[in-house]
Amino acid sequence: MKSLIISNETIKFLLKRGGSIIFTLIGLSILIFILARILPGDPARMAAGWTAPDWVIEEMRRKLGLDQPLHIQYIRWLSDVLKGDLGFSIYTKRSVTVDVLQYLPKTLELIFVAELFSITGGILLGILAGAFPYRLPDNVVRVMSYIAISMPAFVWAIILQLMFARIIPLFPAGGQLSSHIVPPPRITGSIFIDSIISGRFDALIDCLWHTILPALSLSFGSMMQNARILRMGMTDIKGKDYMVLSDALGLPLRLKIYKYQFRPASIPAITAMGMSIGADLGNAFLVENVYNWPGFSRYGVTAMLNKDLNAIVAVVLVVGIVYAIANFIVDLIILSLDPRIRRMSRSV
Amino acid sequence: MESLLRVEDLNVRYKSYRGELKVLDDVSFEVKVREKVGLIGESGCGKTTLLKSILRILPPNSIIYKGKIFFKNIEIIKANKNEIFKIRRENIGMIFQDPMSALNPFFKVKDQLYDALRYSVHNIKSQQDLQQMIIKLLKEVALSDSERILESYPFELSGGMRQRVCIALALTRSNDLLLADEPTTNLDVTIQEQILNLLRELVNKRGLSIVLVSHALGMVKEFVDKIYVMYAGQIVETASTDKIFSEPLHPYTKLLLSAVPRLTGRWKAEGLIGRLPDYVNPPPGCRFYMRCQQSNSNCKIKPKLLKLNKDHSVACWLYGDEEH
Ligand SMILES: Nc1ncnc2c1ncn2[C@@H]1O[C@H](COP(=O)(O)OP(=O)(O)OP(=O)(O)O)[C@@H](O)[C@H]1O
Ligand SMILES: [Mg+2]
Repeated sequence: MKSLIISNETIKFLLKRGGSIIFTLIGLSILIFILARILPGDPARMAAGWTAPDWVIEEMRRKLGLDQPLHIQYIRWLSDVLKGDLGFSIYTKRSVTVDVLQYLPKTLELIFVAELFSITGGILLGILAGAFPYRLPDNVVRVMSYIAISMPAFVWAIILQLMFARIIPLFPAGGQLSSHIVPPPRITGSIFIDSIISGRFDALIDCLWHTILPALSLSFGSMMQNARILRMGMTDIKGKDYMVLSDALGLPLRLKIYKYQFRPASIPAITAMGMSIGADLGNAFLVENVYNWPGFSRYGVTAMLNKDLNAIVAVVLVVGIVYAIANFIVDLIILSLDPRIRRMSRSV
Repeated sequence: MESLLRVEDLNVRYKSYRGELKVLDDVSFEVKVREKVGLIGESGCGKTTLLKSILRILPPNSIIYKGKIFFKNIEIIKANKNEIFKIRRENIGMIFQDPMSALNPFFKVKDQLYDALRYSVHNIKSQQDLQQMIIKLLKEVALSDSERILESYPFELSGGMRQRVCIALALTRSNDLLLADEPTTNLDVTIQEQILNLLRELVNKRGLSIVLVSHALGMVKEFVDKIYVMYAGQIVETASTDKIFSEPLHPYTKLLLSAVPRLTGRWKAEGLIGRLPDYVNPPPGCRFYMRCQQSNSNCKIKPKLLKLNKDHSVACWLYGDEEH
């Protein structure tokens, strides 16, 4: 890790990645900005209401700035965004910034716990299956992954809710906090963090309790996906000359698997984990609906259905940012794991 | 001399989608204490398969169909895990064909040497012990800049340096026998000789036995005492090095020797007419039959490896035919 902080190549790599993220986000914002405006449906009419006469609609259009050419609209929007203002929502009648700050932390909490499940579960099952290919653990994992991957997250959400909230009431069926718990004072908007800061461990535990079922249903697909990719990596690496050499040297099985086989095998799996965070963010919508979770995904879909332009653009942008951050972290992890990326700039 | 390793009638097959590849066919092979043995034969004839069976590190789709391997007094094929691990850690070291892929690119040379030493017979009491042992080891394989080498990843080293690291790894194991599978084939011509000289020096100094697989006949000639010639998974001839070069008997040996390898160390296709038979349905008799200029109807029956005199055996119907 020392070389990770010091090395010139590392800094260059990070700057390059950071630059490409900003570039991507600008591209994404232009794309979604235009896309949201050329899709059918007239936002001014929706904002003014179905019964409004034409002149009211035109008035609304001017008020929203939609009468301006596209590039002017974009430049205005961008300069507002840089000041931290995502515009006005015609549906919630509030600043989109306020909406995002309210809903996003809730979904991030859900995603965070779901990724915790899918990464730890994926690693454990992947190692198990990869260390003993075509044996019992591998076969069990394979069947499990067929089932998990072929069923969408919301089906899992319904099944788990039915089984463990209704039939066997171990967990709450929905919401983020029980009604008898007073919410912690709002500091960051995340109940986890707020209750830790204010020492409200009753709220923390209650909230975690509510998170388990939705997070589990959200994590199954990506957990098994991660396990499969890690398993594939493990078997790939197993046949390499250097693994045959570690056999020839008589190195103990544990050292062989957890050190010499696992690290190279984990690279594609970690990349896949980064990608799956983006997909899980999308899947979160239906799961949030089933569990009545007051999150961002539901907000996003409402925005789409109501042609709430600023909200749509903000939602897509935020998802893009979360995705970019996740992949940036993945890049950092891979950088610290794979010396070839860290040290190869001379020869590649 | 006392026998160190004895392979008897070894048959190794590989499972494939086309059926079983019957690669090694009744291979018998012996290495005595302090003996230097060469194993030659064209690409694909099963040299690596033979070496890997000795350490029981064949790929998972392989089958040891028949045969025995004795190392000292242990029957390797029947041995239990502990005995095998003991042999791998204490007695036999192997050098692989390709130094580019034989080292793990994710770990420093230091890591890989440490772990090899930590699980060896060497009695390591402290970190300093380990450090000293490693530096001594690197000196032995003529890697002088040990600080830098230890902190490097394999891909940061040249091919020759990597092969020296691989030799160092093998040396942590080989108190008796070194299996060198084409240790120079993937190296620059200028480095090939250095590596071979290093090996010879180490083998002599430590009193080891060695099995040297190589295509560089000129170098093999100067290195080993005895040569086995292999064709399509069968030993076709074995004799002292002098005999093999001065009076080769088997038509395949003659062909092999006449096809002088180029500087690259590989036999060229034009030098060796024809191809190896298909291992799924190999000819039931002599496997060289289809390519042989001197074949006759006898050749459809498998010739035994016949001992003509004290140190020369050949498996061919042209010699001592009544006795087969
Ligand atoms: N895992 C495997 N599965 C199927 N066939 C294999 C496997 N390993 C080797 N073979 C086949 O067995 C035969 C002998 O291979 P081997 O590697 O022992 O040859 P070799 O004499 O070492 O050749 P080279 O000089 O190219 O290294 C070849 O035809 C090869 O294709
Ligand atoms: Mg080989």
